[in-house]
Amino acid sequence: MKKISFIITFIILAIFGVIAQTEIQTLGVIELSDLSMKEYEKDPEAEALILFDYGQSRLIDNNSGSYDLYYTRHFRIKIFKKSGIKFGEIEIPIYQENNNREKIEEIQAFTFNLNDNGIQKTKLDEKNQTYEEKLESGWIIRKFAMPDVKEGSIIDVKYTISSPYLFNLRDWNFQSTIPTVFSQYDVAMVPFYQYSFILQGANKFDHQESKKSSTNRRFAGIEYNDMINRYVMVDIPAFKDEEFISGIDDYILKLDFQLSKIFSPYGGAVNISTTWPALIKDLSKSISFGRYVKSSSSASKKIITELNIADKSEEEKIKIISDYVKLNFKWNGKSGKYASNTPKQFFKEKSGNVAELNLFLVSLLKAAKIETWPAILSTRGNGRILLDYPFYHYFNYTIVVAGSEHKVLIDATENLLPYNQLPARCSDGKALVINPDKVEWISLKNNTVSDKIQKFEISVGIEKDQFEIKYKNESNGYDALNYRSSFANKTLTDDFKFAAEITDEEMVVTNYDKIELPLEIAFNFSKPLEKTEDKIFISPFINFAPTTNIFTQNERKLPIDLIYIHKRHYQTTLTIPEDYKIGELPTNQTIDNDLFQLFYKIEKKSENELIIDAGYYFTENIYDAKDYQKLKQMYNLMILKFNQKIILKKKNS
Amino acid sequence: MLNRIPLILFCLIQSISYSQDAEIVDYKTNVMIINNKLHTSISKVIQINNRNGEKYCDILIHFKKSNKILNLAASIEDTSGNLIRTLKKTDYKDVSNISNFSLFEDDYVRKFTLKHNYYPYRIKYSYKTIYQDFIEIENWQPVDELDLPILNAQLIVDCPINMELKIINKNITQPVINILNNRKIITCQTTYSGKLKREIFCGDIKDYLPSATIIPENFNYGIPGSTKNWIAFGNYFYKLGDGLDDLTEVEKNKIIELTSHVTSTSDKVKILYNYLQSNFRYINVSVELGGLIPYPASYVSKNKYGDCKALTIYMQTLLKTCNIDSYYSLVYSGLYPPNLTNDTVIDKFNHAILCVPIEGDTIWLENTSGIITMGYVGTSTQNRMALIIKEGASHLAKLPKLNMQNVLNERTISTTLGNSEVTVNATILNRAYNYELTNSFANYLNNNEQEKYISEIVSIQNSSINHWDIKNNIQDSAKNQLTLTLTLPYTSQTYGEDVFLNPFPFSLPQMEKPQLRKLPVNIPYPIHLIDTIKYSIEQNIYRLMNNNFNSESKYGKFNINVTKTDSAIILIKELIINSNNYSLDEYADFYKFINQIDKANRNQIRLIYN
Repeated sequence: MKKISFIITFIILAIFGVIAQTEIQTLGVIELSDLSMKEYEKDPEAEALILFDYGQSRLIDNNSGSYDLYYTRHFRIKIFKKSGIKFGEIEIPIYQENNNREKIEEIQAFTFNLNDNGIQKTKLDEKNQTYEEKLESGWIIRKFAMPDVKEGSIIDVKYTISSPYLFNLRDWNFQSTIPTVFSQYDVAMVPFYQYSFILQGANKFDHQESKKSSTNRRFAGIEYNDMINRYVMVDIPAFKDEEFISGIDDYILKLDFQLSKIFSPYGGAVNISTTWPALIKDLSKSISFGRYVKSSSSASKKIITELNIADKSEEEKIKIISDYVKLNFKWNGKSGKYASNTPKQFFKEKSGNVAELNLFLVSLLKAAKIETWPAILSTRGNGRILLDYPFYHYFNYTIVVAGSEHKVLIDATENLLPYNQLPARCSDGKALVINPDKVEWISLKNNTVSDKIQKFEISVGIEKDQFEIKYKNESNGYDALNYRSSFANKTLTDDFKFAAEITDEEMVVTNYDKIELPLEIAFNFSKPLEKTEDKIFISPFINFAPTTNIFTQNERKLPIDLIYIHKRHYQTTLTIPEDYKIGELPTNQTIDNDLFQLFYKIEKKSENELIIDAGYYFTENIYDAKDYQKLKQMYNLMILKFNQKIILKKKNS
Repeated sequence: MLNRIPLILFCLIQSISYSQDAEIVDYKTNVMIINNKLHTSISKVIQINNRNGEKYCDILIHFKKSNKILNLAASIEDTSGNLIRTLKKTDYKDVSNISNFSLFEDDYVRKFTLKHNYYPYRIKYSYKTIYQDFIEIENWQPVDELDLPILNAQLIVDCPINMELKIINKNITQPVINILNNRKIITCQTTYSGKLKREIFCGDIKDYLPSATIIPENFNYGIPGSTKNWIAFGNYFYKLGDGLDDLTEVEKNKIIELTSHVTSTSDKVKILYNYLQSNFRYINVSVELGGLIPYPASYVSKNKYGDCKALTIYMQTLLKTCNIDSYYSLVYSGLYPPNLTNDTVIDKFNHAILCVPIEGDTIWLENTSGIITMGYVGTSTQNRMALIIKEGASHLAKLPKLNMQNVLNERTISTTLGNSEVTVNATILNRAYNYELTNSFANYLNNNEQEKYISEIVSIQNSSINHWDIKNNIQDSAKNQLTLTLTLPYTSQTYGEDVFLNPFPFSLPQMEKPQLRKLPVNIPYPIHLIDTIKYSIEQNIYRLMNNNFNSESKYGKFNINVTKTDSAIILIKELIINSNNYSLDEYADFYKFINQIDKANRNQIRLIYN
C-alpha cells in the first residue's frame, strides 16, 4: 500500500513538475509576516483571508484497465476576527453510490499561532479528530474542527481524494465569502478523456497556461504525456451576499468542468456531450428520460381512453390531462432531470420526483396525440446555463412543453397553480426542449403578472370610536399560490395578523379549488379611530399598503431578482360621517416609466363618499443593479403617498 | 335545476372550516425491562385523510449508532384493513441527524415515505430498540405535531416487581399500576385533540401536552447512579466528572504563573476566565454516551475546544489549579425552565455551567461564549434551579433573575423634522436578549451578514443603514453599544396645519385577542425600553398638541412625554412589561393593557403650525 502511494505521489510530482510552482508554499511552513498580520489591507473588515487556495486534479491508472481521478487541495487561511474562527471548521464532501465510494487518501492540517515563545504549530489528529456525516443525497461529509484556532491563527490544510467517478472532476471556486489572495487550479488531462469548462463571474483568468508534461506515461500500450492546464486568479474580493438574488451559485467566481469525450486507446471515441444535438440525443435514448416516456406509453394510452376526451379542443385536453396528473400523482419534493425510479414503481407509489411526474405527463399527452416534448432547465440558484456550453450538470429539472401552435409550459408538481403556470423556482433563463429533430430553447422569463387587488369599504363608527372596514382581497398568480398554500396549511389568518386578528370562522374564502380563477378572501374588521375634538385622521388603506422599503441597501452590485412581476392595487370607498366634511386630501399622483408605475387618485363619488384608487407595478421581475437606487426612491415615494392620511373636519368647526 | 344552485354556491365560497387532514389512530409504546436492558417497542397507525395530510407520510425514526432499529415493519392499508403496500429494505435510508449547534453527533434518522392516492388510507409501522444504558425508563410525549390529533396513545411499562420507580405525569388520566406474573405493569393512556397552538408568551407548550416520565430509583448510564434524591443524583454526576482534571504539570505551572501577579480570588477567576475565552472555543462532538459524560480537561487542552461539559470541567480544573473551589452545575438552558423541586429528582438538564462561591457571593460562569462578560446569567439560564454537583452534598440552587435594570434597552435618537430624506443618528445600549444577540453576531457573522440583523435591533422602519459599529461589554458589564447612522425618507408628514411626527414606535409583542387565546401568559423576564428622541427644528413655528400618555398597572407601565424647545422637539418614552404569570381568566385585562399601550406606541406625535 505504501508503495502504491509512493508511486502515485511520484507520478503526480512528475506530471506537474513541468509548470513552475513559485506561488505554492510548502505544507506546514508559514511566513511570520502572515502570522503577524492584523488585518487585510485590501479589505480591513474581512473576518478571515484565504492566503492561497491551490487545487490539482489528475487521472491515475488504477491498474484495472481504467483511471481514477485524484484531487488534491491545499489552502491556507488567516483568521482575523472571532467570527472568522468558523473557517477552522472544515468539511470535505465525498460521494458514494452503492459500493463505489470516493476515498480521502490523506488529510494533513496544522494550526499556527504566535505566542511568547514564537510560532506554535498544532497538528490535526486525523484519526481522532475527524468525523463522517452521512447525507440523504449520497454524499458523505468528512468534517473536523482545527485545533487551537483563535483570532490571529493560520490554518494550513491539505487533503487528497481519489474518485472512481471520472465525471466528477472537481469544480473550482475562486471566490468565497472572505477575500482570497491567490487561487490556482491545475488540471492534468490524459489523451483518453476530454473535459470542457465554463468560467463564471469573469471573462478571463489572471493567468492561464497549458503545457505538455515532460513525463512519459503509458496506458494500454500507448505512450503519452499529460496536458497540464493551469487556471489562476489573484486578489479575489469576498462575495457579498445581497437581498433579492437567486442564489450565490449563480454569481460566484468559479470554474465548472464536465467530461465531454472519451477516446478509446483502441481507436474510436464516445461523445459524452459536445453539442446540444448530441446532448438531446443522449437524453432521448436514456432509460431514465426518453425511454421512460416510451415505457409509460401503454399505461398512458389506457388512461387517455378512460378520460374520454377525444372531442375536446387541444387546450382543453392539455388542461384535463395535466390536472389528472396533479390530482392522482404527487411530487415527492425531489428535483432532477432524470427519473430515479421505474414507471412501474411510480405507478405503484403514486408519487415521484419532478422528472417522473413530468415525463409521465409527456407520455400521457403524446398518447392523446398532442405534440409534446420534455424540456430541461436549471432552477433558480442552481447555476446559470450558458448557451455556448452544452453541459449536463447545470440542468436539474424537467418540465413539459405541449401544444402544436400555442405552446404551453407545464410542471405537474404544484397542484395549487394553474396547469399552464410554472412554479417560481423554474422562472430563470431558458429551457432546452428535448426534441431529437432540432435544438430549441424556450424562454422561462416570467411574464405572468401576479396581481393583488385589495378593496376596503370604510365607515366611521363615531359612537364606538372606531373605523368599520369591509375588506376583500382578490389575487392571482404566485400571490394566489401563497394564499392557497397558507389555506392548505391552515395558516391563512396568520397572513393577515399584521392588520387584524381574524378567526377562521370570520374569514370567507372563495375559489380555493378553482385554481384558474382569482382567489378571494373577505372579512370585516375594525380599527380604533384616530381623532381629535374636531378632526378624524384616516389612512385610506389602513395598514395594508407597505410601510417599509424592501430596497434598503446604499450600494448594489448584483442584479435585483424579484422572482415574479408584482402588481398591487388598493381601492377604498370611504363613507364620510354626516357631521363631517373633507378637511385635507392627499394630491393625485402618477409615475409611469420603464421600471415602475404608480397611480394615486381620489374621486368624490357623492357628497359623503370618496373613492381612493391607487396601485403600483414593477414592470420587470429582474432589474439591473444600476436601477436599484431609482427603484428605492420610487418605492419610498409610494410608501409616503399610500400612507398619507385623509383629514375629515367637523362641519361646524 | 333550482335545487342545484345552492350546492354550486357552496362549492365556490367557503367560510374557513378546516377538516382534519390526518390523525394518529393508534400509538403504542411498550417498554420492557429484561436483564437491566430496556426493550422499547413502538407501533403507530396514522390515517391520512387528504392531500394536505401527506406531510405526515414522511416517517422519521431517530436512533443512535449504539441503539439500532430492530424489526422495522411498515405498510399502507385502506381503512378496511386491506394491505396496499409494504415497506422494503430499499425504501428507507439512514442518514446523520446532527444538531445545528454540533460539529458531530452519532445520531441518525431512518427516513421513509409511504403514500397512496385514494383517501383515507392508513400508514402502519412498528419497530424495536434495545438500550443498555438509561436514566429514564421512558419519557413519554406522544404528541409530536400540534395539529395532529391522537385518538389513542398508550404506554405500557413492564418491569420487575421490586423495581423502585417514580412516575411524573402531566395532562393524562392517572397511570394504572398492576401486578401480573410477578411483574409491575404501568399503563398510561391518553388522547389529544390536535387543537393546541403556540401562543405569544405561552411558556413551554409541553406543559399543556400529555406526558409521563418513568424514572427508576437506580439506573446505569456509563456507571451506576440513583435518583433517590438530589444528593444521590448529584453523586452520579460527581463520579462522572471525578478524575477528569487531568492537566499536565507544564500546563498547571503555566496557569499558576498566569495568576501569580494577583492575590485576590476574584482577580484570579477573572484572569482564568479571560484565558478560557481567548484561547478555547465551543465545539460540540457527542458520541456514544457523550451526551452526558464529559470529556476530560486534557481533551480541551489538546483540541483547544470542547462542549459545555468539557469546557466547564476545564474551567473548574483551571480554578482548582489555583486552589479556588468551584462546582460543576447542571441547568436547563431555554426560555422556559422546567419546575424543579427538592422532592422530585428528574433529569431535565441540557447545559453545564460553573458555580464559583467567592467572597460571600456566587459567580456563575458560562464557559461556551468567547465574548460575554464574566458572571453574566442570560435569558436562557436566569431565574431557575441549577443542580450544584458536590460530593455528598449536591443540591438545587437558584440562578439570579434578570431585573429591570438588567433588561433595559435604551435608544437615543437624534434627527431633524422633515418631509423629505433625513439623517438619523442613533445610539442603542443593548442588554439581556439584544446583548446576547449582538454577541452572537460578533461570534459568528461577518459585517455583511451582521448588517441584515442590525435593522431588527434598531427597530426603525423604512431606514437604510449608512454606518454602524458595535462596542461589546461596555464598562465591563453585560451591555453592548450600537451606534449607527441611518437615512429615513421622512420623519414628518404635513396635512394642512397638522404635522405628524414618526414616533419611532417600539416593537411590541402582538398578543392574541382574548376570545382567541387558549393558554395562560408566562413572561419569563421583564421588558424595559427607554427612548430619547430629539427632532431638531429650524424654526420655532410649531405648537405642540397634547401627545403625552401615562398608563400604569400591575402589568407594567408606558409613559410618553413630549416637550419643545426653540430648536427641537423632545420625545421621551419608557415602557415596562413586568415578568409574571397570568391565568387565562386574567388574560382579558392583560390584553387590554397591552392593546392600550400598543395603540399609544404607534400614535404619531401631532404638532400644529403656529
